[in-house]
Amino acid sequence: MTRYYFNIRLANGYIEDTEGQELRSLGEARVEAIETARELMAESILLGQKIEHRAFEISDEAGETLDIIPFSAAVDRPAS
Amino acid sequence: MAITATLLRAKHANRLLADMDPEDLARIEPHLRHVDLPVTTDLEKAGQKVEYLYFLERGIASVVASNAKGRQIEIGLIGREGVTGFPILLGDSVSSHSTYMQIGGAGHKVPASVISDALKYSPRLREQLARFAHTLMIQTAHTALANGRANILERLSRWILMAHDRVEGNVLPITHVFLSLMLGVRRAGVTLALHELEGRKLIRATRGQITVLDRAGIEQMTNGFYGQPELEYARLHPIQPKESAVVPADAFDLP
Repeated sequence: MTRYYFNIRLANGYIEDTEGQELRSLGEARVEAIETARELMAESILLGQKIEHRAFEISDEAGETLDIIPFSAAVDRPAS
Repeated sequence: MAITATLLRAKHANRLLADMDPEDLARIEPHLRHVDLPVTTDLEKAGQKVEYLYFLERGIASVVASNAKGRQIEIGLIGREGVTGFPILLGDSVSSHSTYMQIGGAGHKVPASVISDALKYSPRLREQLARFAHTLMIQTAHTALANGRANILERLSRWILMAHDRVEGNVLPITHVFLSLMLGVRRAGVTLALHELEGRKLIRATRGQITVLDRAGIEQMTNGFYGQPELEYARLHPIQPKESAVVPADAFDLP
């Protein structure tokens, strides 16, 4: 198990994930990012909010960015 | 004897023990064992016999429903105002849900058989504990309402207030992953919602803890999803209901 951090890049800000999450692989982390993006976008749509450009920056314990997953990828990309 | 009983009651930080009739308490008290209850301690397991009931003094227990595939959501939250062991109070012996400590604390555990026996002897005790079971059912009903009709921000705000009602001070030691299990949303959704509350200066979220800064502001964020079960609790238990429609943080404190 590896600890992955899901930092969120917003149109006008950045939210650092201070806790991270234990997952088996980067592949699993990508799936988690996509499924979370879906949940968050669905919530935004229900609330009638504008869906601004947002992305997950997946990083490791050392702070190294491993992948960037734009929320838009969650719409046209299968989760697994 | 009466004085001793009063002293015995006054020493209890658990609301139900503190309010208990001296005769009922005398029957139960010899079987109470004080225990530390660190975070994640299992109090009940789904599908298993309830061995002990826990009268909490500190900390928060979560009652969690889950399906065969491990999907889960919190359906009840119990602190020093209550007791675990719902099935025992209602005439069953097996738990349908899991209950575990979500915020570590301490309390008194008592064998389930002691409580079932005491309930047979004393209609007064049965009434007292049934009233608590009733308030827990009201809470669960409102959790269902919130889970079905409220957005993440409203639900998170409601949860923070319910937890705040049950801890000393303003700090809730809770991780995002735990909150995501409780609210049935993915963890980063919790992170984002906490960020939103923090941006409004209502809380401070640091690694593993949430500090309540502006309770009234959080109440506004719940959009009416918080407060009704708390008023019912105040109505059904001998404490003074507060004037405002929303119960302040100290509503569960002893007078």
